[in-house]
Amino acid sequence: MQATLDASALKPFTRALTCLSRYGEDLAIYATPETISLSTTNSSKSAYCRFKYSRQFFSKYSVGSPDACTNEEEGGLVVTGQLLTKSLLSILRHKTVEKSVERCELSIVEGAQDKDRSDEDEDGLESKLIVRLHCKHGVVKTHRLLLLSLTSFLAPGVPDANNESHLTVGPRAIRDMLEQFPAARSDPQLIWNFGESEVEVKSFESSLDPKGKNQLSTELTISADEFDLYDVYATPTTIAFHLREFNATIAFAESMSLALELRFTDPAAPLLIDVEGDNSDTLFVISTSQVPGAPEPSQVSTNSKKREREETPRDFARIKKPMKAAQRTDAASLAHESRTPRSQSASTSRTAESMPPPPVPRRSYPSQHQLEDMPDAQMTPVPSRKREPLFLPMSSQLSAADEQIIRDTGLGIEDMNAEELEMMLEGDGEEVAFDMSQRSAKREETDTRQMVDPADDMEFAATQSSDDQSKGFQPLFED
Amino acid sequence: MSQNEDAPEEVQLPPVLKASVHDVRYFATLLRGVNFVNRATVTITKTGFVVVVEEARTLLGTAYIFANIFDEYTYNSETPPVPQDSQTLDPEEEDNAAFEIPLNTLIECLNIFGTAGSSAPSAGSGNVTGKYKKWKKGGDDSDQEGDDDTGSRRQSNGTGSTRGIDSYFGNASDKGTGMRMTYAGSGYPLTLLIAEDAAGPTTTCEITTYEAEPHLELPFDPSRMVLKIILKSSWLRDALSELDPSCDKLTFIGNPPPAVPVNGRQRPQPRAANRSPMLRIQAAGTFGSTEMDYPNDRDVLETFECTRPVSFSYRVGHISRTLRALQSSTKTSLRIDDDGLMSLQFLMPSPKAKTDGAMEAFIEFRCLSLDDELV
Repeated sequence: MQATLDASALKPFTRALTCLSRYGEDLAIYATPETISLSTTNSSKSAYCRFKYSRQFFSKYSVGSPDACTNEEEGGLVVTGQLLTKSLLSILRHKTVEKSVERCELSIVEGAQDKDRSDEDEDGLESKLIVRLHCKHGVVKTHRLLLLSLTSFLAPGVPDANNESHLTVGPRAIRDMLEQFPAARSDPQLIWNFGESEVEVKSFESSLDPKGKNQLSTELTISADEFDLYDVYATPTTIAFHLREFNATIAFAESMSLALELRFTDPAAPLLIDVEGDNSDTLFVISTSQVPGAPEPSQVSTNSKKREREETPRDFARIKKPMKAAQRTDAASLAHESRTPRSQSASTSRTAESMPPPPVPRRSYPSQHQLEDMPDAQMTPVPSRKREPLFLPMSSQLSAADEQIIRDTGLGIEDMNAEELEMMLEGDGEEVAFDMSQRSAKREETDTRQMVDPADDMEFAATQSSDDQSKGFQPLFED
Repeated sequence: MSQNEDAPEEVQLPPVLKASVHDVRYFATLLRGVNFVNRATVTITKTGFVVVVEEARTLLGTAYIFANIFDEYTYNSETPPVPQDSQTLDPEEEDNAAFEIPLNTLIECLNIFGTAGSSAPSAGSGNVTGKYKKWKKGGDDSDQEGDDDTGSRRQSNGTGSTRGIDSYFGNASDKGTGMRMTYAGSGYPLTLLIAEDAAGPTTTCEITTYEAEPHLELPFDPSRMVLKIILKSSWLRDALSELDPSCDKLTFIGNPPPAVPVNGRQRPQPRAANRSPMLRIQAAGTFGSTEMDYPNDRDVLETFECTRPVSFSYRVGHISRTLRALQSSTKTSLRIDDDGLMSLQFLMPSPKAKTDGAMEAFIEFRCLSLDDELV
């Protein structure tokens, strides 16, 4: 792979790397004859960032030199590699680069061995990313960076598009909003409540805060007019996500003077942000978490039967495990899984919902078409949902022993769930993640119906299967 | 040292060294350039003094501080008591005084008012003392444009933004911290009298000196020189700063410049890049390697002399010791002899050298190459 950047293209390229470095440590390079994409995922896999540059972005671009080892199995000429973003960025962001560099050549030289890319730890056989900086006065600086082979793709779980909400906003406007929420040291989580004509942003107050550090609670209401496009599928929709990566996105969009296009579906599905430039296409995926006790868009429960273990208050069942922004897929399985028809994943998730939303013709997004057109399907939506337990497992479930304890108390609290039981036994309820009044109301609602959605049954079965036992509920974010 | 019985004698004997300067910053910058090992050997001569620091028997840092950087510099030969009557010693060569001193302590003492920060006349910013609050003056000097309010004066002194035309003449009104340094002789401490200005407080520091011990000698023989480069310090500074921190070995590769066409028949070759580079600085680290090639361009290399292809490696840890001196210097001379001994000389721009044509001070580093890379 060879790509040449002139001085004017180097700056946006460096900005992109800066943004990537704020998302994650590793940079995955994926070059096809038409585009090169740089992507990264943060360590908790809750955020994903990808920059895709078309060949017109470069003054010269070619993939596949005679000695390059190409990856033919995906049906195209593909060069991949992985390295630390920092090491590339430190070269390009050096203060002398901006002043003196006239041209920057990036080239990937693959290891010498034939097709066997599994063992690359031998001397002289490593793939290398060569950064050649042509500076003024004919000074040439050549940096050779070791390139690891890209063993696993991290592909974002792109949610179904049929109930997507769309927002478009300029970076300045959104930065002015977020300036109210300092993100200096901690990485605060913000709750966004998208209403009919107003957007409410407030800092996420966690009851798990051990030292009471978050003394300051900020709430901001913005008119929907601030957004250039405001199209929320169902109001109100409430999502919560962390600021760190979002700020990196805004900083990039602001430095490039490009607008952000936000897309999201329901609270547990990731937030997608598109920033499109002239020859670049940028996708950010930030995983969201559901806010306990937040108002839900209308959803009807069709409970049909009752099982004892499902006496959980409905509110618990509604808290979905946040979907990770990126799923780790190894290259081999990706080849198969990426071909999974999109409709299958859609139908899977639909059964999980209580009532399928009315069929909406899928909107077409140029960016998504591009994704699917990519031969290796790095970005093709992986049917991630079917692997994710949709409901908060374990903690809300009662073991048989626990139930016995409850019965023995004779207090008539058979409908107590595990967490409440634990609270009762422990005596202090500091782990409550939502307010009590709402939950008790919900519990009454459950009692009257005594029914549980059959679809929920299915999900619970999955939740309690043996291999899921170990996973339990792992919150994506440490509050 | 029995000071009591010497005391009446010392009254008559002038101190070995008496030097004073109205602004210590240049002096402190020179000392800071070699401040990578605490114990320094100071040799005092008539023309100035030399501060030598060595590390790992491999790296030798020398700061040549000439007498003309001081406002007043008197050196009185420390004639030993016995040959005092025999005045036949060669006064030029042998008549030096040497002692060892904790260099870091000396620099800290000079900076006791926080005003001996980098003078950095090369950096183009004349006002480097801006960070520090100066002591409040007694209101006796009237040459500042009449701000009688001491509060605002203090501010104006600190930032220098309101000094008007003075700010264009260096630090003409900003006198900086003055120093008077005396060294009475072997066994006596080095005494520093530091005052910020006439009205401010003064500090007297006595720094213990030690007897000088022989230090590493790395003589550089110009006749064995195989590579000589003179370049702007910024080029070398940028090159070294771009190295990956994980690199531990730095290689200088030099090739003789292509032969000059004799009869003009030879055209300038368009494929110059494919030839072996004239000067290449190369380093390898954990995450990859870096090469920097420099052409024979007068804008880059003012002088390039290379007699035969050379390649010598040095430890980055040693080379990076020179960075502090490199950063405050304007020009660098890099010479390597056929054994790989490298001599790096940094010309330290003096704030007053331009006016009186005095010789500028310089700092020299000599470093042995790594053995396994001998060509």
